[in-house]
Amino acid sequence: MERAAFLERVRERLSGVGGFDLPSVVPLTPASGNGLPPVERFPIELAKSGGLARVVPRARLAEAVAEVLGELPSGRRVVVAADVEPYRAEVDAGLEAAAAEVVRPPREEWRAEAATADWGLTSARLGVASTGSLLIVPGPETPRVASLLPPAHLVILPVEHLVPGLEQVMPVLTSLADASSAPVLITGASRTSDIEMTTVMGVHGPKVLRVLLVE
Amino acid sequence: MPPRRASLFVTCLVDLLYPEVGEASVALLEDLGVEVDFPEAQTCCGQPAFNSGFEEDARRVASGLLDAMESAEAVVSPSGSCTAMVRSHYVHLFHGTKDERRAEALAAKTFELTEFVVDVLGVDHLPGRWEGRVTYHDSCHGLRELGLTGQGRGLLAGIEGLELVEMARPEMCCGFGGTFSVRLPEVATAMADDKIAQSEETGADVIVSGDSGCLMHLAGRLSRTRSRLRPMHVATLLARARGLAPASR
Amino acid sequence: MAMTPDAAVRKRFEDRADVQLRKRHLPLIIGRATDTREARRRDIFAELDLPGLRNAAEAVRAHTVANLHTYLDRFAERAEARGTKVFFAATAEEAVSYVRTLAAKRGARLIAKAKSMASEEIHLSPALEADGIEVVETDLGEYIVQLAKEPPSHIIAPAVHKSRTEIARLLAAHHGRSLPDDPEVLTAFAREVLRRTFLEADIGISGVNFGVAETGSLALVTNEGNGRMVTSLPPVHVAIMGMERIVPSFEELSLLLPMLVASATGRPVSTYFSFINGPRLPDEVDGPEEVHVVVLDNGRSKILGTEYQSILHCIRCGACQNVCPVYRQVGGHGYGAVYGGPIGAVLTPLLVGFEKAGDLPHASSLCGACTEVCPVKIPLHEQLLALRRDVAREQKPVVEGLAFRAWSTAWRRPWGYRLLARLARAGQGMFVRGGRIRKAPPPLSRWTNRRDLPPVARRTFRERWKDR
Ligand code: SF4
Repeated sequence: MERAAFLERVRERLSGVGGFDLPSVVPLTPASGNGLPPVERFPIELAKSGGLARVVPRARLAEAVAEVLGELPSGRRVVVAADVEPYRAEVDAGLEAAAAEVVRPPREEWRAEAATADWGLTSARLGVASTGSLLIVPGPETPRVASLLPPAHLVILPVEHLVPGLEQVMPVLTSLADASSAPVLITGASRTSDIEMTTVMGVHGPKVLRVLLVE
Repeated sequence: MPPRRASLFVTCLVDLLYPEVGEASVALLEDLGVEVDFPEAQTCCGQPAFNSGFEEDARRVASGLLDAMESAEAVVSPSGSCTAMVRSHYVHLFHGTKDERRAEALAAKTFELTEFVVDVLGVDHLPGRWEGRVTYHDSCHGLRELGLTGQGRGLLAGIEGLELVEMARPEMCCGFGGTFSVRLPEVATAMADDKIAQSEETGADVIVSGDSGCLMHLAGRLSRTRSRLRPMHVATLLARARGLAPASR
Repeated sequence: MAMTPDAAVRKRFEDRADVQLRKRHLPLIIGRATDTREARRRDIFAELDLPGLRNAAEAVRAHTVANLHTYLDRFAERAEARGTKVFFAATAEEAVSYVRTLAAKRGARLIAKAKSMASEEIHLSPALEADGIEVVETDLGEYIVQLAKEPPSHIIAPAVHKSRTEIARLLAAHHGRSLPDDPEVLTAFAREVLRRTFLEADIGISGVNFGVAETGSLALVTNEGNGRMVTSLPPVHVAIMGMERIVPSFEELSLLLPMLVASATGRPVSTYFSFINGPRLPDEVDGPEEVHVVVLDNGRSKILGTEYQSILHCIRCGACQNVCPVYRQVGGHGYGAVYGGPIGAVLTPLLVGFEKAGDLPHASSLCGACTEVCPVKIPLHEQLLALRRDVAREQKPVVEGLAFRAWSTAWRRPWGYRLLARLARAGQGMFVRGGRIRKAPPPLSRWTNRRDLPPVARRTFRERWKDR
């Protein structure tokens, strides 16, 4: 159907309907910020969704990267997105210490590399303290697949990028509408409860999510 | 001053099938110093037709109740469901008719029995004695349309020797639902069995409710399945515990 | 899918329910799952101002739906400016044929689908399959019911009616190997087989949780990550969106997203909130080349402007299903339609007509539990009641109509009432045994088949009162 005709039909049906206003006050939601400092709250909330975060000073970032990779028995092929470039030195040192195989694929090979990598390493635009969520913004430097295909995802996030609650993410999403085709808010590990309500981590997305909050 | 006079809306179910519940209600109220009368023109609140979608027939019967209760000071009924019909649905049912005002007036002065005792008379403790374990079924309309949660339980709590044990889901529907229980008997029965299983798990010997509809449905299933659980209206139990009614019928 | 919902809708609820009731394990599995969800919902809202949140959420939905033409227009405008193709489908046929044409144009052979109730509603998969395209559901629950050739039975948990043993057997049979009934193992297995689908699919089809008018964006809520997969990996993404699924701007999502997820699962957010702004930008590394949104009416506009308009406020959280005592006994399939439980009992007759689904409003004891939990305050049980009235007006059931007329004629006056009581008492004599009626003639046999019936008292209350 033509858009105009479709909308006209809707308009006609609604002609007798009174106007309702958007709410003027909205109480705190389950995803709102509270009094806790974001840097304290973020790791607590993320843990509830099956992810782990810890705060590290920049001077110990390399060490922390190596530790995270060493904690898990999985393989050590790491695809690295360009949005962690600001931490290049620390990342490289850390990955080397962990004896990781580092891949920085050219554009056209990203998908194939990510599909076989053990880890995806990216940064994030924001971290949401109230829920432990990460706003990942795919773009020229960060492919979608880096945070999607590998079974484990490591995120390096400066603490300044933490916001208290979901409310603070919305203006950012609005401003991203023309800048990225698919921002995503990721909270913890991919999960399902589809079989008898038993929670299982790692269905299609990463099973492991680790966040290093850099001071 | 709380009203000292009340008219009993006994409901058709209690009148015809469970008259002792009506007697117990009267005994309780009179014992609390309320002068009770029974307007004999009353029949039914009209709910069976209303819930089946036959509003005109519901209105015909309901207007009889408007007439019967015209001069009542307060109307008290031993049924959460029929009280909710009058209070929440009459205004809608009579909307735009000549009886709209009268429906509003009746809605404003009608109370469920335990609600009347606790919230209107301000009596939240009734001394008495009853030996046994009791579990309480919240009937849906009392709970959700009238917001009754603590009144019946509160009164039972004052009875010496009575142990109140909560079932897993006291607020879950028992499957009566008026005409629903005849329209979809198998579903209704499965729901009753769920409720009965929960009640039996508590080890109670009596399941109490403020609605004779729920109790009729549960009782019918309890006796059919030879359960040892006994159904009882909250008014009956309270009256017996206070020595106001014979111990059994 | 095997069940053509039209035929299913035409059968009576009572018959379907009886079939479902024979599955004795059903209330147990469904009860456990839905009770858990309901307990979590209560927990998460316990410390919050839930009445205030529900008022606010209702206001957002009421405002949006009341101004739907404006917001839809804006949504389409912005989405198209960003390169998304927006198609307005008045009917299911229009929507299906748009997708079929697109699939043919792309030469699609494999389609990966994320959970979408709207696509179930228009029977999209069977149509595409008839064209020789393989369509694979990728939400684990949806994948399970697809293998079982069944429709989903719950909005949020499509396979809620299946035990782990049944699921293990299904997957094993389909893939010709043996599998244990361990959810971990079964999930890992599904991950492996579905991964290939994501990577090879020619088209990804998803639903839409919210369309954002201000920016023309789509918001998608998933936990497994399949939503992100089907909207990122295939070269074409098609989103099927019920036309009412709009919000004015991102701002409202900071309320509606947590309300949806918390009501559905008891968590504040799901694992993935994907926000799709359009096809991949020229300098981006990946993402689909084409994004299409099919805006679906399919009976919805008929509901606008009626007393049922608020049913279009629904955000598909499934909370009403979780607390429904009828749903608990018969499961989603008892309703014979895409949407089961209270939301389905209201929405289905409005969408498909009373002739096909006029008995669904009676599939409720009117207990009101649904109304109590709905995050956008839809008065579900009152709408069921109103629908019963409208169905009776339209269908004029003769026997029932006469019965209620006779009843109201007698009972409107006390003497008629007394007369009927006396007649009943005289007539019941032959049926009463030991103070109860165990067998009664029709229609009362519908009661006594499973339950005893109390007889009319020897002396009614009013007779006793007279003698006081
Ligand atoms: S009707 Fe309300 S409770 Fe039911 S699915 Fe829709 S939003 Fe949720």
